[in-house]
Amino acid sequence: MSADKENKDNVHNRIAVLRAERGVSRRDLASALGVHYQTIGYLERGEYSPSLHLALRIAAYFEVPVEVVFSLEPFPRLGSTN
Amino acid sequence: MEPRNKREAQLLELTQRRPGGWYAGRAGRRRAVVLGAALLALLWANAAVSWKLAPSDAAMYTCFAILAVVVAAGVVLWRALTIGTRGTVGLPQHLLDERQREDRLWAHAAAHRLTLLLLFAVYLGTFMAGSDDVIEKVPSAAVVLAGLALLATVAMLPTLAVAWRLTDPPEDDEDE
Repeated sequence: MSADKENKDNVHNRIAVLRAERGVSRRDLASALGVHYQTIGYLERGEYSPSLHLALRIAAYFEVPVEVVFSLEPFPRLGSTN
Repeated sequence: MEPRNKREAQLLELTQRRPGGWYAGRAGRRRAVVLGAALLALLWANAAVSWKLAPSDAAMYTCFAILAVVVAAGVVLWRALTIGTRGTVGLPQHLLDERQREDRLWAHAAAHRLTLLLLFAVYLGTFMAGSDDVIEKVPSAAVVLAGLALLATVAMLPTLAVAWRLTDPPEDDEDE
């Protein structure tokens, strides 16, 4: 699989930002979602793309629409004007 | 991911623990995989030695010595790999999350391909080994040991495959 294809398949997320903002640890989030705590780490690092079911549950946990947490395009950096 | 009994709870606790020691981290896990592959190779060598030397005292002593080494090292290694891979292959399905299940599927698919290659190599080796009555001349001890080696290989390959592939997880929050 080429690097371009991998980038296309990659789902970007803001789990780390939301987690930091709400003061939730990886273990707390993992426990609430019923997944291994390392899975949260892999998700944040972009090494694992969640199923639709897990993505919706993560969004529901943070009480935001799913597109606030996940995107096919990279999220703009904080302070970015674009 | 709810354990259904005490044994499952113990297994889950064991695999949720942060791995320490020589098998922690990707390099350590890969060293464990190399060691595991060496032990499997030893089992196959054992069958080959038995084929050539059995029935004889030399074959018997070699067999017992190799089996003792493989069993002793194998028990330590199996535990290390189970903890190192967080039970991805060994835990019951309902104790795994979707990422771990995906890893397990990949491991079994990779192990299946490797097993096919191995079986083909064994078939080719047997076919090329000699005369038409080669099967009749194989000592029964060698057949038993080859079966044992095959069984161990099929059992170990998924764990070895996933241990080789897993990347290091991010540090825990407490360590950041």
